[in-house]
Amino acid sequence: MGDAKEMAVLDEEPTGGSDVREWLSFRLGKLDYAVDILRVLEIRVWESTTRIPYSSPFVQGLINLRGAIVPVIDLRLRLGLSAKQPDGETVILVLNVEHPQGSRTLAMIVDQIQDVIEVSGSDVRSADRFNLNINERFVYGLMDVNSNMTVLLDIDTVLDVDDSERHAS
Amino acid sequence: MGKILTVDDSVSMRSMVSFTLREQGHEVDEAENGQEGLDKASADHYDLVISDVNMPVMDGIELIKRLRANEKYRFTPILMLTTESGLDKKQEGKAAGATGWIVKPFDPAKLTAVVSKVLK
Amino acid sequence: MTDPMERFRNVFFEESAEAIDAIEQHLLSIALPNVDNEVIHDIFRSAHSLKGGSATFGMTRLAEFTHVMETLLDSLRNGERSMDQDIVDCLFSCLDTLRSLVSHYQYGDEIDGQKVDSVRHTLEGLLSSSAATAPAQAASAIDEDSSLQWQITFIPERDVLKTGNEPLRYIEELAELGTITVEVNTNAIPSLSELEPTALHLQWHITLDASAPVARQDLADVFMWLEDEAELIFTPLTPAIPSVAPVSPLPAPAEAPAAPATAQNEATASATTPAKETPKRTQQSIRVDLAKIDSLINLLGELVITQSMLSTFSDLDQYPELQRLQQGLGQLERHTRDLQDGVMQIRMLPIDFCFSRFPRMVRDICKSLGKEIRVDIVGETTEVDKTVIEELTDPLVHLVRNSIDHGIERPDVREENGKPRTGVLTLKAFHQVGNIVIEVSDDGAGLNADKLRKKAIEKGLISASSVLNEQAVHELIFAPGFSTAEQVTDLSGRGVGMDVVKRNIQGLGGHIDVRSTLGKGTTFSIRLPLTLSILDGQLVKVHGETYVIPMLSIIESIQVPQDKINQVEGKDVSFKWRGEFIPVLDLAKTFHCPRESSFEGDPLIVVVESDNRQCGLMVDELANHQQVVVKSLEANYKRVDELSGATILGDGTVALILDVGALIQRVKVH
Repeated sequence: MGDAKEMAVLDEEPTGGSDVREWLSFRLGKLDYAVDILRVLEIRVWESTTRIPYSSPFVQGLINLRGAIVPVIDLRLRLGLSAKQPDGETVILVLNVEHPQGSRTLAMIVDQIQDVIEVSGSDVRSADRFNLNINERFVYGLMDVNSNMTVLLDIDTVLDVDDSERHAS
Repeated sequence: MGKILTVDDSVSMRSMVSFTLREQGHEVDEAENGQEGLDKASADHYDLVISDVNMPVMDGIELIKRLRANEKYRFTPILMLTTESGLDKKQEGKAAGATGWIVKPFDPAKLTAVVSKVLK
Repeated sequence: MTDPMERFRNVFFEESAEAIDAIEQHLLSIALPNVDNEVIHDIFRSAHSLKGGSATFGMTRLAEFTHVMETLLDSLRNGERSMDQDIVDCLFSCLDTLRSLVSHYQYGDEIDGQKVDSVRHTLEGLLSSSAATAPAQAASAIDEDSSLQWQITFIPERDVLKTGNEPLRYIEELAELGTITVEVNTNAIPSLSELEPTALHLQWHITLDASAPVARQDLADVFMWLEDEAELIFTPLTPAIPSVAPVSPLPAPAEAPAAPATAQNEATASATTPAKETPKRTQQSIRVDLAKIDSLINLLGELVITQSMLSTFSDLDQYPELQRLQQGLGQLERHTRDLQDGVMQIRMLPIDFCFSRFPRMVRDICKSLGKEIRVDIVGETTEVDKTVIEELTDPLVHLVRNSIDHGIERPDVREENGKPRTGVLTLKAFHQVGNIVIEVSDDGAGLNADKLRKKAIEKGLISASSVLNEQAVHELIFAPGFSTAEQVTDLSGRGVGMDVVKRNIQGLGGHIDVRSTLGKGTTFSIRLPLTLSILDGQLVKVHGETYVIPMLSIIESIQVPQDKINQVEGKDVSFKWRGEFIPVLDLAKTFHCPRESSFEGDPLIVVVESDNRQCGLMVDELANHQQVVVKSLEANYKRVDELSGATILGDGTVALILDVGALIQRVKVH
């Protein structure tokens, strides 16, 4: 797992200006995505899950996280990308999600961990002008990282598993 | 510093008394009624006993009488902790052998002062 | 660190809730005109500690209110007045006031000042009607005289040492007021042969020189504890204000008046004690935050998992030295199980926590309905998991209200029918093979099958031609839509029907029955698992997936030849079991299992039952039968139909627990 290296990078970096926040970027298909690092509780190697009957296709199943039952979302399917067999680089990000009914722990499967990036408010661009092919509710903004476009995800909507009942889209 | 037994059926009262006294460096044991107080006192030795008056199982007056009947506690200071500023309870307590009384409500400073006086 | 005072305050709040509940219990136990003295003492003691605590923690309004209450109770205790209905009623209304005052201090809730005042007026009214026999508090005008110089004569009694008093301590304290000159009079010391070492024979004459005037009261305060055990004469030497003659306190009473008084109280107590048993003393206990216990249970769940994971290392042939390890593992397993039992025990509370509210509730409702009902409680010490108690309360409230409203008749009607005027409502709890059974019964009118049947036909729940035995008709009251509308009185209220009660009970993994005899009464019987957090489960495999079926709902598991299962369009629909056709659910199809079955042979059918309906669940194989720790799916996910939760297995993976009731319901819908 590559996260130890990433953590080392994180340690060296000075905590920048006031509105600079750190995001954890990862790869999904050909594109980079990122989540607010303060929401990341844990990075785990891929493991098999227990399928939940009647669940949406993007809900991969359940894992046991030190005694807690945690649902795992296949982020590829959630964002409308094609499915992919897990490989040696596939990891599970465990995240803290704010839900209307309180704070929850959910996990999501991503292809590969990339880096810790610094994001300041002025760097974030609106996603309106791009056709990203993903539900815009999921996108917090876009960011240019070494001329690589990174999609900053709004994790609370991405991991809102019963949103279909609230958004009939 | 002395070893003190505090007897009260009210947990909040008891813990406040023992907290205050432990802060002062005393060693404090607790009992929740007269009977338990008597048992603890008989099994151990205390330099001072502070007891509530109204308690289930065995009240404070009875506890004082029993303690005074015990050779070990003939001269040990025993204070009553009571809201009843009325004469009857004090006299009853004194007649049973109480050294003195502390009237509830009291603040920690007052308790500390009285205890250090008695233990001097 | 939290402020310790804050902590004690919180303890006090818990205590006051208990004290108020205790007062309520005692009040309910009073059957006038006989009043057990011990009951009054206990009520007094509770009010008294409320007063002491609230005063100490600066809760003035609560302290003032409890003071008035205490005064009234004190006069009852002393026999100055006797308990009557007015007082009982007034004390009941005090309870509500106490609760609102406590929650004011605890949560900052608004106080209804008028209400508090009105209850207080009632109290004071009762007090003044007893012509305030309280002795005029030593209001003897405090002598205000003070002086810079005092002459003090201090003659302690011979036995003063025996109360733990040390005369020197008082003299030292006196020294804090100014400079003192002490003269000891040893004249009274007897000859050595007569000397009693524990007696005091000394007298002191002390002169106090202070820099600021010292009041007589200050001196009296120093010797306060000894005022009855010493002769004290305070003489001002340079009076600042014209002095009064030296005050010598009354001599100590020759004998303690206490003992005979107590004896007398006991005598009257035993004379008036009715056959009623006194409430049990609470056992020793500590308060623990439920969250702490839950985290302990979670940890224990982990331990159970680790333990069963270790026990899979059993390849003895390959590693003979494993034998000793295995013995250790066997022990670990036993200890883990014991520990699990023990920890679960911590969550268990006597059902009394739930039952205790009913006497008061029934009393209040009876008052407004003009009915006379006695509540009998049996088995209140039966223990059950705290969460079960919480979930049980609402259904029980409904059943009790139902009995009062519709079960027990008015006193005159009862008399006409040759029954005693007072109806009896019985709440009973007992354990039965891993379950708790709770019964709510009344000796009222009973269910009228003809009426029920007519109503069910009117409501279209059954057809006029349907043949139902009496029991089946009785059970119609649980049918959805049966007991709403008409039954909504202001008491049964909220339009909640028996169907909701039944659903709630089933939601807890239990079931409810009714037994009734016309004219004799009705009994509702609720059966629930003892705990909601641990479940006795049968693990089953379905196309490589593992599910847990609660043992409670399994009747049997049988292998059924494929050709004995009736199929419609290739779907298994039913098979004959014990002479009757019951529906079959293929779990793999029901749950859309994506994988193929690796299993061959005749289908295995687990016959399950809920709500008196059976169903066969088709599975590939049966795995372990074990206790599982139930975890909610809703904590991080959402409710899933036909599943009641999840658990973690020995290998650390998650398995889902079937909601058998919902699965059977599904068969009916399809």
